[in-house]
Amino acid sequence: MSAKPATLPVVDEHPEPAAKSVEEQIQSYLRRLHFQDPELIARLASDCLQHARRRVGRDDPGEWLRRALEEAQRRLDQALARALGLNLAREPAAVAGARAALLLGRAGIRADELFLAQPVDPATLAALEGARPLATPPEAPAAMPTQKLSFVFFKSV
Amino acid sequence: MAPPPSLPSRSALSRRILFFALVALTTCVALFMIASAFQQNGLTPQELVLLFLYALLILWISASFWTATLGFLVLLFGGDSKSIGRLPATISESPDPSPLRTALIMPIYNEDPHRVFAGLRAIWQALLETGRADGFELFILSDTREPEIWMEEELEWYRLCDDFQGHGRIFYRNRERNLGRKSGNIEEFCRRWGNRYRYMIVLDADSLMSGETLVRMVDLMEAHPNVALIQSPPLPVNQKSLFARILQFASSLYGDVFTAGASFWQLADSNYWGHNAIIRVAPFVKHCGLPKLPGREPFGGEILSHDFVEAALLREAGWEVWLAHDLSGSYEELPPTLIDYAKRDRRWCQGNLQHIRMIFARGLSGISRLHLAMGIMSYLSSPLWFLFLVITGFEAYVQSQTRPVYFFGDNIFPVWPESYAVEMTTVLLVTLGMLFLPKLWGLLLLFTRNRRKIKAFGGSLRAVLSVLLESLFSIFTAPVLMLYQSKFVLAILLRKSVGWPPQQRDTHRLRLGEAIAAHGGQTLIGIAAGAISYYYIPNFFWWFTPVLAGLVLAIPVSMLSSSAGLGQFARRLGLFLTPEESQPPRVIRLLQENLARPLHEGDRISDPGVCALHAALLPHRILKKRHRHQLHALLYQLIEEGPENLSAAEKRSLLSHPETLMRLHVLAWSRHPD
Repeated sequence: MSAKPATLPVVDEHPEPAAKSVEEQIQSYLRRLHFQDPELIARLASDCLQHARRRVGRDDPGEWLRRALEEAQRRLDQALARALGLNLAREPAAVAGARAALLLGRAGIRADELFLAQPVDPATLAALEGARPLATPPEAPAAMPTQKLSFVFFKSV
Repeated sequence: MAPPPSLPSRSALSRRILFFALVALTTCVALFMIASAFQQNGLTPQELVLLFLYALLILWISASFWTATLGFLVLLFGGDSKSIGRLPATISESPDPSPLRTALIMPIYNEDPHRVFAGLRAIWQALLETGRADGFELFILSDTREPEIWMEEELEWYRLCDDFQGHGRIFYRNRERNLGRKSGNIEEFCRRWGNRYRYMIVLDADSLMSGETLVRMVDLMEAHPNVALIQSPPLPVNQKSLFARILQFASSLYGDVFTAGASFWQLADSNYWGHNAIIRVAPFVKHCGLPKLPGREPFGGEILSHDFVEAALLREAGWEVWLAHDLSGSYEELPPTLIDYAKRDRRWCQGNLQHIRMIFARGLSGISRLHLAMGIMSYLSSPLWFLFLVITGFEAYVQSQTRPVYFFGDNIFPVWPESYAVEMTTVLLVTLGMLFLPKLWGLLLLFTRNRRKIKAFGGSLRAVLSVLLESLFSIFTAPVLMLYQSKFVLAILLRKSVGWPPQQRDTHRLRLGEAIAAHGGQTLIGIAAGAISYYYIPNFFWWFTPVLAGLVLAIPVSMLSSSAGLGQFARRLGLFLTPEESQPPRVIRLLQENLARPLHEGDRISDPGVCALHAALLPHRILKKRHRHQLHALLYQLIEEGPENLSAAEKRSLLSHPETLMRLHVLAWSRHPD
């Protein structure tokens, strides 16, 4: 994958009045996913819109946008899984955790770095790993038997 | 081999003999005086009932009075050498094999996330500052059902982890099904992670504890291997409304005498108040799995006030439960208004009345039964007082209608009726004295042992004035609470359950409509009782005025006392000041700083980061086909009708599965991109 890919003119191919708005929204979404490189954003937006276009009818721009948004997130997830050596199909929660770390963590990692031709900087990966949410520790179960209570005058349990 | 007890049993025995003898003696003397007044013409049925009611009430009052008085004496003479904090460490021959790690657990349920996490941050920061945080982990045990609050909690948790490098040490779990309410929440934690920790410190949503106190509690547990639970006395802080500031002042000034007194006679058989306590996990897990009581609510079902029962079960198993009365740095908050206070009472009332059955549980110690009985009596005393007042009024009416007979038979000399005014007045004064003297004990301690705190209470003059005003306020509010609690007891006896509403904790001024709805009936009762007594028994009316005034003025008193403005005005005047207000400890300052942090409001579901976090925390579940179809149906409903038409449970269902969560997220973004 090249660092500075060419963009595809999706809007020109689909000149519906809503198309421009849809493209703007998907680009805005990509910026929210911590993409900063305008060219990468434009290319990814174009790819996502094209991918989504195949799955929805031309008269439903709302659904087109939603599918494109899902595709954008899927692509980010794929890049994260690749970088961290995770399996997206088997470990969706771990990948979502990495996405949360990227978007909410204070490490200041740009999503662009995951789409560069060269491998991701190990320091960036370590920061990402370190900021992944760990909701609970490994379980250390303890048997907690329900107590038997016996009452005078009342039914016992 | 079981670890040795922290204290020889004869110490406890001698103290309890003293305490119960004092209580019994006071009760007998008061009963003798009132009985001698009644007996002048033989006992009527209503006098017999009055005697019975008075016996119960004076027993309750004198137990409370002697607890406070013994506490006063303990503190006056420099503290208790047999309190858990002063006892020498005991050595166990078999060291505890569990990892020396303490979980700070906070069960929460639909609480304000901003306040909850401001408090947790403050506690964690304070703990980090001790340099001993390595032995602690923080666990937020959420039972929250509201979808927005759930996502907000997750975000706050993540920020807390990120801000303090707490990933892997600060944990969050939201239960899929909240079985067993709060005790079920803690039980689930114990079942899943019980063997990871030696101790757990249970916090409430509004709890605040200093780092030193947390560390000290662990040290005390390590020093006493036979102790299963140490309760710290939480002090109310951080209040703004006048109502809550007055209560906060009262707790701050008089609370010590009660906790020191309770610790004096209860020693290793103390009680658990549900939060701000450290618990040894192994015995808790072994002995405190609570069963459901047979029958339906309010007396059957889940045990609501689980804390008393858990303490009783620990004591029954031979473990010690202590109240560390001299442990400072433990705080909580109060309901901001009289109505919120009553609402909290409603829940507690049901929980305590449920213990009626527990009193008859086989195997519990006498002290355990006493703790349960005292919990019941703290609510049952209100309807008893109410009955006492009504029957006293009736008795006064009967007396007023009885014509005295001066001449009997052929005797030409009149027989004047004996006057028992002295006895009755003495009984009244003794009763009032026992109710108000603990306040004086608090004040006396301030002027003797705690002189360095006088300034923090606003100075001598303001402290005395605050005590007088607080006493006046308690006179006004006591009849209102009496009617509320009587109503609650009656409702529960009629088997009306209370549910599990979250508490209202934030300051809010009562509106007139709200106050009328809550206190209108009480005001009418006050007016009616005043009119009847004034018309039929005018002599009794004047004795009755303090109660009547409280009821008639319930609406303005409740409204004015709910005002944060008045609360702050009183603070500027130096009234009801507490040391925690005048010189806030570090952990309270941290809480205030955290509360002042800007809120990042917005639609969480459209935020990709928050959504990713939520997806990461969802448990892995394989959906059944039918459930998948149901979720898709909900999604279509959402698309067609908008999110407003989905219930909280439906929204929660959609948020609980990654696929529908993603759909929700893109729907929200496509509608309102940020």
